[in-house]
Amino acid sequence: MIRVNLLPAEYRRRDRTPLRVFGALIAAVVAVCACGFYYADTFFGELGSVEARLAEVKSELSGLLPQVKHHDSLVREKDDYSARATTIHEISKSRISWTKKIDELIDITNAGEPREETGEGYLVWFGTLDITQNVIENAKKKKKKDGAEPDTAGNVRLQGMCATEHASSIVAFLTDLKSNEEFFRDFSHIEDPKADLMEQEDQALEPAHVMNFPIAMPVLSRAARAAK
Amino acid sequence: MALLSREANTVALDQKKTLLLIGAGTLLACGALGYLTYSAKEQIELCTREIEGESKKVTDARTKIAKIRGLEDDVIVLRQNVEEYVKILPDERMVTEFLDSLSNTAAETGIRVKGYNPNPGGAGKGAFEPVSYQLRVEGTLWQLMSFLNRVESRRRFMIVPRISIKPGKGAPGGDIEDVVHEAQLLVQTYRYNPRKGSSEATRIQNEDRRVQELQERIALNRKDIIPPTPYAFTGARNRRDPFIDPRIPVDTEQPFAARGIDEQRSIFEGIHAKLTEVEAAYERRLEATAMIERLDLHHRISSGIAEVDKMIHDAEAENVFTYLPLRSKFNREVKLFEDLKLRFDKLKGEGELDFTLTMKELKVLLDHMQKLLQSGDLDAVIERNTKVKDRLAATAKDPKRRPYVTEIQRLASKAVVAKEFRAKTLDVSGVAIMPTGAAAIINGQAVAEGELLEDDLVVHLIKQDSIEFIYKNVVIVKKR
Repeated sequence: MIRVNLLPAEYRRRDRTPLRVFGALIAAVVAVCACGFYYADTFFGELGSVEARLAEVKSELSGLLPQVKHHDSLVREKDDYSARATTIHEISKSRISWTKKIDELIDITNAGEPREETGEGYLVWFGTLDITQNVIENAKKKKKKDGAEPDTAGNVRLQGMCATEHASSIVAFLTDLKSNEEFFRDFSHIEDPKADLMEQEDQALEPAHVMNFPIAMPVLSRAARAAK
Repeated sequence: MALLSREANTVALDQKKTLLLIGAGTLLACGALGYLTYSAKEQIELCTREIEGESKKVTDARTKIAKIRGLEDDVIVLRQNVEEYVKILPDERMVTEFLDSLSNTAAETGIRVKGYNPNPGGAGKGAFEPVSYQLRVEGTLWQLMSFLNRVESRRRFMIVPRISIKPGKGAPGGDIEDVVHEAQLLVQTYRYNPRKGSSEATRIQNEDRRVQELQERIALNRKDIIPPTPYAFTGARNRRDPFIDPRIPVDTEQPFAARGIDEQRSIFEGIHAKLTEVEAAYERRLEATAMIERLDLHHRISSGIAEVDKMIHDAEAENVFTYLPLRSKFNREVKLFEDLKLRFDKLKGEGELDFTLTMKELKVLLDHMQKLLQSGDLDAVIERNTKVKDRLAATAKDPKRRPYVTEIQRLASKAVVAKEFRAKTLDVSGVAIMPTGAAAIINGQAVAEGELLEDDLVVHLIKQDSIEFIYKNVVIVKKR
């Protein structure tokens, strides 16, 4: 059947929103509102509480900072004073009484003088004496290649002379040096000795024969001496 | 119909458009909200991470804060101990007067300072700066060692890390023990500057009170950096200076040449042998119990000491021992001899309680000497007295025994006088006994009783068979 609406347009009943459109609109609104709510919950709820928590934590941290600063200052001062204590300890332990060493050397030299009854002994005297001891600041500069502390910290060099033409007398003297525990405890070893028979400059002296033998004894480092 | 369909189409189109619009709008809106939500989620993630980070910092901070009390204690202990440790270093005044004190020490030990330079030592370590002086000095070995010992023995830290000795040469004919050596010494100490290399000290509340509370821990943690007992250098002690060439010239025509080594050795052996003999006699004397043996040993020791004394005196006067090793040995022998003399003197004077003669010994000796004198054995009397002379002198101090000592000494004097009288020539060729007095012819001279025959010799009594003389107050009877 044909329906004709004779009412003027302004009197005609408006057409209803189509159901599909209405449904779509409702769905759209629901979707948008749901997203909106979710966003709001996320932004104002979750994010808000997290930010509040963050502010709380930051506030707590800033309250602790002065004490942390105090702690760090104490740690620095402790390290500093520990280093000073170690340094002063090293300084005091670096002492070797060179008077005692030279005195002992004189005792050994005199005690070994030739004895008529046995024919043993040696007549030794010295040309020069050079002692070098490295104290803390130099020792640190000469670390070994592997970074460990060096074992030696200095040297003692003597220009020795012995009234003999036989090396056995020199060997006897060097043996006496090494076997004197009190004297030798601060040295690591005696470097390989060598000896030369000196040309007689003045024939009018006796004993006539003299052998020249340099002596070098590295000085043990403080740590090596403590360990020995 | 067509119109209606067109209208229906239009309406359907409009709906589609509307739906599309709605759909697009919805998508757009949801998209925007979705994006915003995503951003918010990201921000939440960031904040959460930041919270974790900050929480960790808070935890670390709390951990550190918990350690503050212990750290403060450690720092207090370290401060107190370091303050104590650095007392071994010179204070500022001493550092300033470093050179003056070295000069004074040099003057006291007799060495001569030829020059000094401040040594710009390497950079210090932290708060410790080295202060060094390079000295050029000269002196005998013993003077140099005395100086070195004084420097090393100072209560405040001072070391000599560089020593170089170059021996001198003695002057011809000069004393070899006065040879002067040259030396270079680097004398070093450290200056403590507490402010150097460190920030301001951390303020600790109630530090003074806490120092008191931590005294025990401070003491326990204090390391042993007390300076070691200083070495006591006691000088030459009769040892040879090993920096002097001990060889001696052989050519005796040179004015400063000495006796050969063999000759010197021979003289030394002689002195040594004699001293050994006296020492052995002394040891036997200590063990001897018999009086005669002790008297004999005593006499031998006395004469031995006199002999060794002379040998030593002669050797020193003639400067026999120019060969250094023998010189040193000789000096040691002299020291041994001096010790022996002291011991023997002590033995004589106060050492042994029975050095003096007992009453019984005195009586025995007196009786013996009287018998010897009566028998005419004058030499025995004199010898006996000589042997106990020192002991008699010591015994005479006792008033009770003094009369016996006096009597024994009187007998000894009589024996000496009688021995002198015996040596005189007195030839009695005739005697005359008269009522008025007696006379005799002695050495061809007529003398009466009471007349002086010679100095100290008087004719006392003239008898038919004997004549009594008085010689040096001693009555001596000479039988005809």
